[in-house]
Amino acid sequence: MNYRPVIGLEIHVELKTETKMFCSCSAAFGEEPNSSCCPVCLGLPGSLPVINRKALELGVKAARALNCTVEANSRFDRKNYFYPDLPKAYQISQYDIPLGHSGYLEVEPLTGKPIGIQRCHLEEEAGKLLHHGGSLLEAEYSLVDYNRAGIPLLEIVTAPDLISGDEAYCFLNELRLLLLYNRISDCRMEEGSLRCDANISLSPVNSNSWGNKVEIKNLNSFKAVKAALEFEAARQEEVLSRRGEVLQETRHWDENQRKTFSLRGKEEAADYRYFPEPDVPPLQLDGIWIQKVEDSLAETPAERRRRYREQYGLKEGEADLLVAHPSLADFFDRAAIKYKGYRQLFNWISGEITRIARQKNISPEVLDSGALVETLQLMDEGSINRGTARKVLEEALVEGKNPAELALDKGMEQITDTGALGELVDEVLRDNPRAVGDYLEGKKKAGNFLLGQVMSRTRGKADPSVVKEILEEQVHPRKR
Amino acid sequence: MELDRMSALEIGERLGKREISAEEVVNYFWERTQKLEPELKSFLTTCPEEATGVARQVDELRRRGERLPPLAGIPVAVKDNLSTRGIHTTCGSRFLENYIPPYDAAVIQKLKENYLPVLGKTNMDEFGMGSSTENSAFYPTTNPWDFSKVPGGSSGGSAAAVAARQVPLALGTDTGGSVRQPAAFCGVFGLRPTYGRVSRYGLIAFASSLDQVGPITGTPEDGEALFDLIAGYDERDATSLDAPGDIAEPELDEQRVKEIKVGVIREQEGNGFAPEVVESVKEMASFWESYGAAVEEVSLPLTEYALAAYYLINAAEASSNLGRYDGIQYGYRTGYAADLQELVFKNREEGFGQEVKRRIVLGTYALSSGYYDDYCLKALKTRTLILRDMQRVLQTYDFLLGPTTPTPPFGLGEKIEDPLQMYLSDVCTITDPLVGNAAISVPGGFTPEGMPLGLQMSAAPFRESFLFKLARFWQQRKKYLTCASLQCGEKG
Amino acid sequence: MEELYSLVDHLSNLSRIKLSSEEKDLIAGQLKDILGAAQKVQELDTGGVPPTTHVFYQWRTREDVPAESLPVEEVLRNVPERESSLVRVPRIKSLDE
Repeated sequence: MNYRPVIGLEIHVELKTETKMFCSCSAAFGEEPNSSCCPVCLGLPGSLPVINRKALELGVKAARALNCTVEANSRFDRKNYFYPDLPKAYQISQYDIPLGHSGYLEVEPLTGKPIGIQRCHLEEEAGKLLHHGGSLLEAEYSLVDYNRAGIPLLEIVTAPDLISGDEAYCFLNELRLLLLYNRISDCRMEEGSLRCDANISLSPVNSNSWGNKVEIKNLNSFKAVKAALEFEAARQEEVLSRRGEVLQETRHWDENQRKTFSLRGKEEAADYRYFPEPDVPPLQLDGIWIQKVEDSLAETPAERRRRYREQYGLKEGEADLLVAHPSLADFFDRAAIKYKGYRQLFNWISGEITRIARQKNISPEVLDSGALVETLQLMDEGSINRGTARKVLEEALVEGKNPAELALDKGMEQITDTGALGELVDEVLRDNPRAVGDYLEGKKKAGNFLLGQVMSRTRGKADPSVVKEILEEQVHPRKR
Repeated sequence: MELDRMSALEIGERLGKREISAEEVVNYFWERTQKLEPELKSFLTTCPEEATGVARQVDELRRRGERLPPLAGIPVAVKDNLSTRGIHTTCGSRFLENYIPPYDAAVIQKLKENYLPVLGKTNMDEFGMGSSTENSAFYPTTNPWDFSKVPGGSSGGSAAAVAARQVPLALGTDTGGSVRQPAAFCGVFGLRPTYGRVSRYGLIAFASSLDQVGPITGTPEDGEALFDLIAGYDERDATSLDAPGDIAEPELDEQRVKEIKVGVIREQEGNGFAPEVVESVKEMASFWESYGAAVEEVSLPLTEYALAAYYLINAAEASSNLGRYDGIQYGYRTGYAADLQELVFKNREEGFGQEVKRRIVLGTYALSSGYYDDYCLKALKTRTLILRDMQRVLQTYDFLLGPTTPTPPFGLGEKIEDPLQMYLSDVCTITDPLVGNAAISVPGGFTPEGMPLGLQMSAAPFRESFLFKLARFWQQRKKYLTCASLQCGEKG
Repeated sequence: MEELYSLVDHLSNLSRIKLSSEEKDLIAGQLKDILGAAQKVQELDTGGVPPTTHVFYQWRTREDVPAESLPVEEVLRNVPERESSLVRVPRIKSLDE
């Protein structure tokens, strides 16, 4: 390749608040259309915005998590443009004094290269447009739902520090985890609570000059970001290699055709006529308050992975897997306080807990880590075997019962009394003389059959290893 | 009983003693309103049923012996840019002709909480843009002292309604003089409160950093009572202010007047100022002097720049505030449009009047890329200089004195063709909004033709009570007629 | 004047107001005078002077506690064209924001 891609991302995340950015309407997703609206978010004449403190707090939290300088005297500005989903014909946003700027994010797989964060700022969402009869351009008419209008939004702009679709993909994953662990956003791309646009230009190798920048929109997943950037890098290289010119433009990613296409729209540059929002006084953030918010930051995903490896002895892949699933990682942390068999814990969480959560459609966040700890302890004591432990765990988690009681109540407790087992084994041997004969001839199958007979008479409660021992002892004397 | 000769507080007293019922009071003013309305046209919407409902409630509560606020049962008229739930709120615009808000403005809520019956919504220049009420999309209001003259604006309907005693009380809004200038033209009292003292929630924005709601009344006592009722911090308006402690000023007596320092603004005379206006200012200056106040001339050298800065800021904010009128969610709808783009362009073309379009174009210019720094930003910096100047002057003087308007009321149609001339008529009232001062317009006598003249006193933020006490001291001794009812009565 | 006329044209586009050619003439003429008067601010030396966007204010925020929204019927009360509880707009045609 004679060219090196220069990539920057612009990410929008909806903040995890109860109410909207500037009014007290619910910010919940999926309500009946236009049922979470008031004069303020509808932009009715005479209504006025008032800042949601929680949104501000989450904005500061994100800024500090991204190592940005927080501007205590930041302010809001109006971005004026006309669009049917924008009820006031301006968006309250931040222009020349963003809440946070000049930060960076360390992305573990991209070691030694922090990705610059140019700025992050707060703004409000627009409403949602539903196009009747296909896409925007084909639609006969459109419908507006203002429920989303006014939901708090954080815009994060990276420096052009990324050089491939793969890097962009890694960065987005790490950013998502950072925001999730800090409970700043749900980051659900499918619900639109995280959105990403990408900028890419090609720079000739051995040169610092940049080519024309192309903005890619309509990226609906991190994989789409990666694919679109890879497509676009190849397309631009192809254009340049035949001495063509890459146009500075906005292109849409088509997920089905898996390529970007140009939107031949108006070439006139937008003039947003930014000016300071007169209805919202400039911010006066208190240094102590900012510090308090900063102190509430969760450890970074990278720190967490390190802790899992170094403190708990997990393998790299195991630590990565846990950290990639915040609800499992949190479950792990809760359990690890009381249970020191960390590898065992990891295995059960990546296995049973994940399975139960998926099958029963319960988030691991609400599952009781104590149930797993107790179940594992019962197993470790030898009171129940692995198979029983699985059953106990599932019932304990789903029905909220106590594992020890479950084991006892249901007669699930393992039979470890060798005397009682000895009698049972005797019975089985008496009843199956042929199998005993086969077994003595060295047929393994026969041994398993006898073991199975004993197990079924205990209804699974016996410890198979103990049964095996007794069987061995009792069969061999006959051999003599 | 001739209720039109009484102040609101006097009527309130009789209501309290149950010498008269609130329903009778509402009926009295409603009949008067109907009689005078064909000439004056101060109202855009009237709501006598709702008003009567409130009056009956007041009477019922009084029968049960409940103590009610001093203005309970007194009819009030409110400017049509204050949102009233379930009642048309047009802002004087064709665009909002059929708009019915689903909520009440903060000040309307306060009126309701205090049991004031709202008799109707008053006429105004479209979106507050104008100084004569001729920019109303529906019809102009006339001046009750002379039907061939304008009542001023933009709160012309409210001022005319009070001057003609269609109602004893009214609310107007003031962006660059829209309460004080019509109060002056109609010979009544009008206060522009400190920016932030009255909630703007539900006041349809014209220029957000300048808009304030203020009382228009026939007496300063009524003005203070109505102001006290609407003032106060509102959590729904982030620019609203918590007033510091106890700010009610003691009554002004002749002893205290001697301690006052008055600054007479030098720049508000000379070119463009009518001789009778200049004369009335002199009269007030010597009035305070005769009571022992220290009266000095003071210079506000930036006055000229203030007008330019004011119009740039106001147009810039307005162009943004009025972007929402696209006709999608509410408001004017054109006949046919092929697509959304055309729909919005046509809605705005047909729904807005000339002055509104002019301001939007000007404001869009001041904000657009390449011009922002030279116009909008420069105006905001100029505002800083004016603010510093004012703070310096108010360290020395307790209040500043000048005319409210450079000329007496002008004729209908006289300035409507020349927007710049119309803008210049605001020169005395735009400085206080730029710096957040409180300012009051009081009657200052009459021209030889019998048209009212208004005088303005401005003071530092939060000194509304002081201004009312000054106004009271003045009016108690001058006893200017504030009711054009006799003229109206004869002609009507 | 030619320049002013095209300026008014541009501004009318930006502000989404269709103006007739007479209106454009009129506004262009008036804008000239008004801008002339507004030019006044250029005479002042404002070097080092910060802009005043808010004269005075008290810093305030709101608790993140939900309050009741408007009933859907109230939201839709003034809507000229609707489909069930959604607001209907004609085809958008262009993608620009």
